[in-house]
Amino acid sequence: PEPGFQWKDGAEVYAKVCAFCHEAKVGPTIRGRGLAPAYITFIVRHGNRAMPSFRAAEIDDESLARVAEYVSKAAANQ
Amino acid sequence: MASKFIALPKGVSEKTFEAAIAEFRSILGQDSVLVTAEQLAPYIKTMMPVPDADHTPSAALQATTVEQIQKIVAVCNKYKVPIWMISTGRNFGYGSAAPAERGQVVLDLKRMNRILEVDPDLCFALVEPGVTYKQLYDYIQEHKYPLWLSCPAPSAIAGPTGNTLDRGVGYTPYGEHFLFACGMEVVLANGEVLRTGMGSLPKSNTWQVFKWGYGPYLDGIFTQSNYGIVTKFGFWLMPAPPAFKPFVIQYENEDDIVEIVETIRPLRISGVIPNAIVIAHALYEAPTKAKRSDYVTGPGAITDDAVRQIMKDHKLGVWNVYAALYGTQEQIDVNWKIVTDAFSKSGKAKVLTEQEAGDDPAFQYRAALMRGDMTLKEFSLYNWRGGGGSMWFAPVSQARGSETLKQMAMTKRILGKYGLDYSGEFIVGMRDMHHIVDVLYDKTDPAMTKAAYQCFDELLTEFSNEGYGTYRVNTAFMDKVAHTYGPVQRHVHETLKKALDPNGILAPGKSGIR
Repeated sequence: PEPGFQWKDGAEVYAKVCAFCHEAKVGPTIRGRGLAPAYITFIVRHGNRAMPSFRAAEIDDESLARVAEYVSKAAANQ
Repeated sequence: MASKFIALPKGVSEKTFEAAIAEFRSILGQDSVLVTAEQLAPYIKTMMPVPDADHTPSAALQATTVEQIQKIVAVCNKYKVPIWMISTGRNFGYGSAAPAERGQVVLDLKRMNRILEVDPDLCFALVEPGVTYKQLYDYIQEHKYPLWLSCPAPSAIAGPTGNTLDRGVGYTPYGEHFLFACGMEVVLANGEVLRTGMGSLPKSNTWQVFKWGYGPYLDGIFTQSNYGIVTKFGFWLMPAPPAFKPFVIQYENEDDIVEIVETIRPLRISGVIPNAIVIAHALYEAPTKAKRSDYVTGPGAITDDAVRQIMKDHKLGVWNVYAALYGTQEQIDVNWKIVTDAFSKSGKAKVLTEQEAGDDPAFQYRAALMRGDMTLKEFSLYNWRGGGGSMWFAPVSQARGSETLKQMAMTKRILGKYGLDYSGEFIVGMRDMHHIVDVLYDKTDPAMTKAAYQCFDELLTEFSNEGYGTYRVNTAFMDKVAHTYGPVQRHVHETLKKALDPNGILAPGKSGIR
């Protein structure tokens, strides 16, 4: 069968998943804080209190590494 | 000796499970069979007030094809391994992605995510279980199809298959999702592939246009059940209307719910207001604008005085009726006059449109949901108490004012007894209400977690004593709710289960069915 949806890059994961909370005052701002990729990865996989966890089936390990890198290096929100 | 596995299925030895895992790996490949604590961590987070160990899976399988799923059920039958099926797995407040019973293997269909067909003329979609609303939304935008989605509040990250299989709801005129489902493909426990309705007819092109097919209509028995694994799901989409007019009507007093419901019912039944209207309490909307900690200190439920202050500070009614009109401008103008005439009779209602409320964050996300746009703003609810504790208490009510007031008062009294707040809304069907209450608590606080469990248990007991049933519930309370519907219905459910799944491999425990 033809392949299904796959993430293009970290920016796409951020825009289509994370931003719905982290750019909307639901979750805290995470861009521009220099958060460590390892920390981001841990929180995404385990969840954290009000924040849900995300499975590898949703954000595969490689895409998670890319979004963690994207967030850790991103400039602050406008 | 420490086990290789973080949990084992009920009644399955480690050795037997090892053999099953080896066969799963030969079907799916090494990387799509997850067994380590690290790999399974995301499946363990729930918002329920029970130990995470009660719902820890033994493994997770990432399948992507029908053939793989057929082979997986064969292995499950051989070794008597139970599987818990999820699509997008974002069932927050109902058990999330964790299995009903400790040790079940999660069959995770998130990666089975092809959009198979979207027909812009007949206005339907056929999708695989892993497709999210956001994925479908983007697809529709890219193709410039004039079609709107209906989604629940977790919109972007949730999906139509999983939501509809738990009979979830949205907020547009297509908000009763199962009502708009049309055609399913189901892998049965014996490995056979069933297509419902017209889908079983060779060369048929009417699978997504006529629901019933011929003979007994089966789709319903695959919702909130464990009789099969849905691998394709068809549903109808709303044509984008030329004009859209969202509005909110605010009321000041809790007992005004009687007038609100009596005013709405004829408008809803006649189709003047066509969408799934929401009557949201101030505390359901407040988290988008306010912090609980700014109004309450110490234990106990929030006081009515504090709620009044929040309403004043953040321009909320104690009831906030969100609804919308759809159609041509002429149709909207005619219906708007009917709506405003009806609501203006008593002089209690304050009517606000986009002109007055367009900048308000609560109005904005409600307007987005009523046109099927993606927003997760409602997750602000989880910040009200914080700490990751949330259960949906969701009794069904008549759309009758006296009934809604009675349910609201009962809920608020019982929540208050346990120090919890009434964060509730009524989602208006035509004749019914989904009375949706977010039982919010701090799961990092053991005493509050225990209170939340007891509170939820008491809510179910008290409501069923009054003849009120729950439409959907989290995995910790499925058995209790199943009992409230009586022995005859349970017996029929069990009879079907034994006939379709004699080894009990498919999600035993779902809706109390084993």
